[in-house]
Amino acid sequence: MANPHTTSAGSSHGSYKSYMIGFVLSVILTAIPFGLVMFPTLSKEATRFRSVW
Amino acid sequence: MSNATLNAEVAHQHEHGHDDHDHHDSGGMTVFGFWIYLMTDCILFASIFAAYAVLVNNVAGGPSGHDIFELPFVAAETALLLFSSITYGFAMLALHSNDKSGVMKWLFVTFLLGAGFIAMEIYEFHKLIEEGFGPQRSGFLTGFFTLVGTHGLHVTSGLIWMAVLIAQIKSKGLTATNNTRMSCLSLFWHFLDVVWICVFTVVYLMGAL
Repeated sequence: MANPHTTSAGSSHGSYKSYMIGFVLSVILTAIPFGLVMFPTLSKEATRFRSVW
Repeated sequence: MSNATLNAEVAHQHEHGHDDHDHHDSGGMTVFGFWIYLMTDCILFASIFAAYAVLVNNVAGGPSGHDIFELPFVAAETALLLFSSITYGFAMLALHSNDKSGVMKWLFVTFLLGAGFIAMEIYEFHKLIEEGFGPQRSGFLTGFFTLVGTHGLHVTSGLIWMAVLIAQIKSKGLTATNNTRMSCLSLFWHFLDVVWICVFTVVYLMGAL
């Protein structure tokens, strides 16, 4: 076992702190797109991507 | 802290000689094989996403995404899945500190959150079908039910797996085999969370625009 961060299943794992940082980031990065669509602040021109679909 | 426990565990495994060492390697190979499976699953979802993108405008006089999607409902579903990912992370942390009851507790919380997600999805599907907007109504709805339904079936499989794993850990403890199973289910669960991010972006958010 060269790497002390490796479990018996061969995958690395994070700390409580790194999990929480990732979780908070995921919540923020999810809230931003939901907020932009639910409370439209961008002009139609800025969301023109829709016309592609 | 947990690393110290882990090192002690590793040292302990080495005392058991060569057989356990082989077993340890096979755990790593299992996780590697599971990664390969996940990549094939990625291809499956990519194909269904592509089919959805082609069909999304073919509403055949029926409703479009803008008419049927309720974003607050989808936001709640998303919250359940995001929370279930962090609680699975806590289960993994408990596993690394060799805390059997902690692992079972967090797996159970994860199971409840995942079951809540599936319950909401079944409610949404049932409501749409009742209103006459089932998968047979239009190409768009076929694509929608196929894509969201395939993800839902995956989450349901994950829930069954999780229930079985809780029972196995309860009866056999945190053995090397159960450790491997925990790692594979962890990959699977987080993978489904990532797929859901693509689903709510492409289907619900872009559909509601």
